[in-house]
Amino acid sequence: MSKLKELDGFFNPKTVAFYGASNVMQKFGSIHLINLLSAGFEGKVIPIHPKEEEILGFKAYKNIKDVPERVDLAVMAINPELINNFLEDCGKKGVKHVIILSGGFLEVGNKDAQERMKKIAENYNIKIMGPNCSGEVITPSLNITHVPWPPRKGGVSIVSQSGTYAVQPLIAISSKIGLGISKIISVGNEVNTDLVDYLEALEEDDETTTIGIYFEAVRRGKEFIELLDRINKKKPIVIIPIGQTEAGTRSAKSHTAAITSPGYIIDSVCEQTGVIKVKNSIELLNLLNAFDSLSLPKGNRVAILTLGGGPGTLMSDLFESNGMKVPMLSKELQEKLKPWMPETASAINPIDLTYSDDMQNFLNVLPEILLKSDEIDSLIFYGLMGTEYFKNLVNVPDYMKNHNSIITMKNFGEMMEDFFIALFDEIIEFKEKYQKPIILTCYNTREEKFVAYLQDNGIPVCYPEEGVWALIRMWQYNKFLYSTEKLI
Amino acid sequence: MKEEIKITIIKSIINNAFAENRLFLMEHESKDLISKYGLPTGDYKLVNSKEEAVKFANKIGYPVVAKIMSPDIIHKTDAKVIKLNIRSDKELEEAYNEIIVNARNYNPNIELKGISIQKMAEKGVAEVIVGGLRDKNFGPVLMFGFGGIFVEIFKDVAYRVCPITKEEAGKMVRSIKAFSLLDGYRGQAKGDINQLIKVIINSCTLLMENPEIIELDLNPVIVFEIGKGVMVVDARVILREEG
Repeated sequence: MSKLKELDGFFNPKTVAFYGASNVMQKFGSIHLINLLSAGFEGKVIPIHPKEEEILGFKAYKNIKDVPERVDLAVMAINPELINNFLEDCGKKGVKHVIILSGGFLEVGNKDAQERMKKIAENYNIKIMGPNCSGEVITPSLNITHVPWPPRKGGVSIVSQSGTYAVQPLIAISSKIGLGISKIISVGNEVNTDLVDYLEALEEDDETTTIGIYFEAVRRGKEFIELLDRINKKKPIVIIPIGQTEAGTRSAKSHTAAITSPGYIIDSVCEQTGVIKVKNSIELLNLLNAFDSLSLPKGNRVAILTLGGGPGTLMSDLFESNGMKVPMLSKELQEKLKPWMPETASAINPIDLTYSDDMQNFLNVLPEILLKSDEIDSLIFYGLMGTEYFKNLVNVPDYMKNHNSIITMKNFGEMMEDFFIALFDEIIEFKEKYQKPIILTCYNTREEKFVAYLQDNGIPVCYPEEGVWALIRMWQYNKFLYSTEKLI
Repeated sequence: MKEEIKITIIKSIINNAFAENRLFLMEHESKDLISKYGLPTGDYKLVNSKEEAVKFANKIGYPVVAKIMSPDIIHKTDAKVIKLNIRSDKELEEAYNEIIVNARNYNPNIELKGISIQKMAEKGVAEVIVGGLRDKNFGPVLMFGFGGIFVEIFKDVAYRVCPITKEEAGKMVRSIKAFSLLDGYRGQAKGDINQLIKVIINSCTLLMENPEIIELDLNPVIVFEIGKGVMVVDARVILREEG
């Protein structure tokens, strides 16, 4: 059986039984159930509870064995001492997939309880996610975590050996960058499904285009390396190793009972497999977003189109000190650009418009000339003006508020909205048309609706430094792919 | 050598250490073991008398090196039980006596296995280190770097998880900053990189086939110019009891 099929109960459950949800809303289990419902889960929800007849309007059962229909997935957020008996019930009922959120097993030295769990699972052929995990998110409508969050559906999947990292930064950062998620899996203590299993499943999963890993330790090191080696040639993998110092190792051991490896060994694993290592969640998610949204740069030459000198200079330095080129454009190409630029601006590259209020030139005309040319492989912008900008611009003292030009200005942003959207639609089209990565950098946030619009349509919008690093890593990855092709 | 014979010899070296309650191999044992994996060690012999020493030195030709072989001394330089660049029978006999005296001064109850006589290695293009260790997650891991300050101060080393392909070993060698010193820096001769790569790959096989070995330290390995090979001058093997 394929791994994806074997774990299907986690990914496509039609009926989910809940242990630990009650009518007390602040209970951990109740929060999980509410989050599942808020995510728009369309299957059936069955609470299991010793006393209650009904929970959140759903009929509750005292024992899972009393449930008349088939149960695809059981979720447990209860006192760990009760878990193994309930697991036994699940086995008898024929449930094949169970997510155990509760901790209190090997990570606190309770080896016997975890061994018993393993035995029961083996007897009834149950696959367990966890114990001691943060659950999973499977877009579009399955959220079995403690955080309410309907992410945008996309191709990014993440397997995390840290429960916290599986949810909290993902949610904070993903909402900022508009990350498109396919699957998030928190593996916990890995009692009988581990990182390697989930990676195998994601390899087969057509909805996953790129994979992120929060990595602590792996019991099946050899299989892990072979898998990284194989998958990374098809779907880029980005890894954050945690627990490589003495204190880090100690911490990892106490939270998932994992024995970690020193950093230089993880580095060599990345070196050998071409997997990209990053140092923090922001880098991880920006890069995964870029992999999911953009085609790979076919070379290392970047055009920088900027409304301002500083960001252009900073980006040039970062690119050139990390193996990329910001080449001087040919005379011919410069001549093509100049008619659309202010006279004071520079067309050499970075193409610095300094200030221009002609958004059509900045967002459409100049980019298309650049993307069409064979002198560059990717395009990065700095600068964006949108409705929020204009609105903030007219936070004037009261006595000015009724002035005609202020009113005109105030309406300008919104009046221009359709026009701006049309400009952005062009950029989104350019991405497909020219098959070159395009990243827009600025310091605006998703509160600016144009940022959200671009992000949700697959143009990464982030800070300049983040955008530059995403492009650098993408180029490194493609260079790695080229090098493996040569060897074959 | 036939595979079964090779395995028998290797197991007997390792089991012999276990029988003596040792979790390490002495240099001559280490060399006996690694040479079964095609790692070039140069001529060496464990002798138990001055006559034997002189005879062997004449066979391989001076200059030679004499070192004590004892389970009680790990750092030979500190105990002054290693003599380099011995050029004649007379010098060798003096060195032999001196080493024994120094060894007994270092530890009156020392157990002596003999004295190892080996050819004094010529100066090569570079002296490098090939090391091996066993990681809890990934199993055998190899380390490569230049000796001395390069590894100690600059940490200019590369690691790879086994198994390692020839291409990967090549990339590993080229990845360290000091690589240019092996590659004809400022008109100097280029080192025999292909033979060095062989040492790396064979060390990898050695670790993978012998789970009792948890650490391997080939230090120094002298790299001669292209076509002249490499030579493992000193070797240490650390064992663990369960396989």
